[in-house]
Amino acid sequence: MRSYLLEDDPAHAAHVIDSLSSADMEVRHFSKAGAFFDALAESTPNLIVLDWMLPDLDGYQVLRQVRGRFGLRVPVVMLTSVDSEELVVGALEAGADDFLTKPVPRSVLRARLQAIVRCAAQSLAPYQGSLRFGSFRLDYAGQTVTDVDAPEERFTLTPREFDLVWLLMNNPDRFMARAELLAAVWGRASDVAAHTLAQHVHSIRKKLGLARRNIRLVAVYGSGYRLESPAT
Amino acid sequence: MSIRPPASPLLPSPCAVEPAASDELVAAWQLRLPGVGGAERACLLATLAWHLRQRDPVQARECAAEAHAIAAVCAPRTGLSLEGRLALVHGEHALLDADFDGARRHAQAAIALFARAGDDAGSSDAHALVALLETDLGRHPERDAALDRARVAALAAGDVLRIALVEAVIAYNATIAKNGRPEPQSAAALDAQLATGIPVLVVAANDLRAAAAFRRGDYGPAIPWLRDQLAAARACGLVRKQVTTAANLSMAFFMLNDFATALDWVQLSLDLARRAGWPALVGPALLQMANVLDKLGQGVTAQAMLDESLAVLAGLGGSHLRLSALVFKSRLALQRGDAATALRACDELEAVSQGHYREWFLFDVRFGRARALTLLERAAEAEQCALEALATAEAAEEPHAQVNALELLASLHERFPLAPPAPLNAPSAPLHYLSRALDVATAIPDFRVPDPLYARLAQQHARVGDHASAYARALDAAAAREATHGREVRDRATAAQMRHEAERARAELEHHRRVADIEMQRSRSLEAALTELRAAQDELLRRNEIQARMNTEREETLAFLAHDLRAPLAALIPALQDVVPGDAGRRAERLAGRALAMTDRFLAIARLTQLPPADRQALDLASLVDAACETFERRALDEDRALEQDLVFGLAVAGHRESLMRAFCNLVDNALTHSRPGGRVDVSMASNGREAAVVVADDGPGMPDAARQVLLRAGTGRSVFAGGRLGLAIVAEVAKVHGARIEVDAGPQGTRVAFWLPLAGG
Repeated sequence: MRSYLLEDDPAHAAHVIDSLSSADMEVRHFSKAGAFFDALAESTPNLIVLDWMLPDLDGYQVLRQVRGRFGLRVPVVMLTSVDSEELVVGALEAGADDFLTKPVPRSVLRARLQAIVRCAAQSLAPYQGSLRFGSFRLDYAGQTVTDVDAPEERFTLTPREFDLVWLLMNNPDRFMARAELLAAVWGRASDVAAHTLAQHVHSIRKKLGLARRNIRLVAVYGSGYRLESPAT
Repeated sequence: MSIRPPASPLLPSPCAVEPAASDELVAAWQLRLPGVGGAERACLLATLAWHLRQRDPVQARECAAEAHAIAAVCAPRTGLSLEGRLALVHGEHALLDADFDGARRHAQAAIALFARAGDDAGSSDAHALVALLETDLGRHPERDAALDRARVAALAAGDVLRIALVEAVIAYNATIAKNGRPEPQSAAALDAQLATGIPVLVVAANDLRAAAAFRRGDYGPAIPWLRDQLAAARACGLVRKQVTTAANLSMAFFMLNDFATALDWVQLSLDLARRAGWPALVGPALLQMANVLDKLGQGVTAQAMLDESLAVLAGLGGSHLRLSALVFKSRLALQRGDAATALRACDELEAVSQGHYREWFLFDVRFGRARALTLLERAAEAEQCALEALATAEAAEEPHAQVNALELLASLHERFPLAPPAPLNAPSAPLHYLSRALDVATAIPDFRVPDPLYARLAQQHARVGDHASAYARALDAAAAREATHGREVRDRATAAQMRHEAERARAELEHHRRVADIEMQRSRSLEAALTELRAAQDELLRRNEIQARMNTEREETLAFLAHDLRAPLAALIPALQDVVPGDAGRRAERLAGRALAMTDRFLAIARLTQLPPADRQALDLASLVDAACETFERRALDEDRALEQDLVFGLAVAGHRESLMRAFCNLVDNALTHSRPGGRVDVSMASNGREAAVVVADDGPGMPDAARQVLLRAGTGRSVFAGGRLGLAIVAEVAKVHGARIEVDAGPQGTRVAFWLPLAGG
């Protein structure tokens, strides 16, 4: 696995490099967009981490160029030092796969970046078999959810809720855009009310007792959701 | 007479069209055109057609065509008035094209239209056009009748300026008829008109006094008046007047024997006329040019000019101008001794002068023939023609013509043995005619009898032995010569001075013109737009300036917070993880985290005040509350507090997501903080059909007054730190930005805060 990091702040760069290296990822660090693009011309990385504020170009311009050159093949994560909805939504709309607001705890950084890389190559979810997420076990054929630590507990999900949980648990720690979720669960052509997805998410949180299990299903502004792996 | 207020360049009064307008005003109107539609456009087009009719005839016709095409959008009376104005434009163009029938048709149409519209000012202009036509045709009774009607209409309109203009023309005609002696009352009117400084009146007034001076032979004083007239004609876009005035200036210098200056002015006249391209303007300019060139000894060129002028004028049928040109042709031929050509010119003159002009030019025909026959020494025929010329002049009560005819008869009898006239009232036939010439000449008011007439009389008296009379006439001749000579010297001096002044004035005029052109260019891009928007723009500019300054300051603050303050804090935390071991490290990390959170909150409140309304979007309220609560679920569990939600999905509000989220988070945060240990926070929603509320209730001891005041913005302190209640201050700010209202219900059993937002689209 090879990743490119474009970040002008040495302290942050060191932090990211350290986090990725410990996850067996090779990191090439650039502090200017020029050198970064030169390297891109030579070889294609598996992951790109971009700082939003750079001395020579802003992250948005870099992102556009990357997307212009590689399409959606290479996942891109944006790093911002300001927690601003406008900025984040702008980045996601411009084609970023995820974003991180500094400071990023090492564990979060590692989990998120790995999730991105993992998901980059595969389809959203195989609609068969079973999966494990934390103490949850999901069976697609039976449409059942069980907690291996509390087998007596019953979870009554609607078919849509199950599909949504299935999708989210297949893509842990990954930002899932609203459109992506709606298309996968309700179908591309469906005309769903704006609040339907939020309502389902709300319902899933309650029914599965996610907070109790130290699992966050985070709303990423109006753009989408991210199911975070259980904190350890 | 009162000076009317200057017309606004923004609002050309619909169809109440001024007689004339300045270049600036016309330019401003032209600029306004693209932004105007409907009836207003039709009126603006008609107004422009009228004021451009001489300035730019092609554009005037384009405006007229469009105005005509859309005239139906106007109210009926306005439409009639507008069509009348267009007919006037076409009528004047026809007149300048020497299409007299066309001009009359258009003028009559205009009169009918204005009458139906009840537009008296328009009627006055239409009758004035008829008067102009009749003047060109030399039909004086019809001219005077038309002017009378124009005056009556102007009086009915109560239009002071038009009354003054018509009266100026009437006074002009009266003055010419009385050999340049203006009526006392018209002299007073003249001064009043000049005092107004209104260009179109200044043109008329100077026309009058210059013409009167010409008629009296006072060419020197006429020159500055003509120059004033030229400047005024320029100012109000009267091209025809500019051409004739420049030609008159040439004529004045010509009469003062300053042919070089005369040439300059006629050149200007000709340039202006050629640019306009109307035969009615080019013809007279060419004629005057030929006149001057002839005097400068350029006989051949003069003849060429005259021929060119005649070619131009040939299309004019029996117009006054063409006939004048033919008279000049015959005179030039006689000067050269070419009697045959002179006779042919006279024949042509007689052939083309029809109707009333037949009488008008009959003297010229007969007198020209008499002179040509004299040259050919066909004495009897010459005498016959001269007698007929005399009779014509007497019938027309033309004293100058009579003097000329009488002098010619005297010469004939002097040179040829002709039978003396009967009854003979003098010792000899030449004396008979010369005495009569003297009688007529001395009867002409203000006319200075030329010394050659006295000299010839003295000679003839001596010839018949009347030495006493001969002596008396010789003294008269000397006195006349003295006067004439003195006058000639004065005139020459005047001419030299005038020429100098004129050159300076023309240089200045050119300079001003160039400056004005540049100014006009500039004003076309700036002035009109600015004038129209000035008030609004000034205000806008002022506001923008303040806004820009505030934005800059705020952005600088935000940039400082976002980067300079936040970045090192953000970098500190991961660094601390690695470097500082143990409790000290955790404590430092916690402190850094708090500082960071504080910075984020400050940033949040700073951003709130610059939310553009455009950033508002329809948001599902429950989705927001759900997202906000989610961030506190873990904490509530950790603190052993219940965070219960009862949400109603599908209620949309218009707002800014990020700031609403922050407000809801702060409300939940505050409720959790103040709820009892092991207690609960209930988040629910309400709606009254117009508004939707997020209700956050806790079971704490009740919100203190100070906190409530911050939340309800009731306190006087506006510090963003709000006495440590930054979170609530943000809630209040968000509410204000969203036009939301906050209800607080606090008691010992707990606190209930409702945040009411208007429903989207409601």
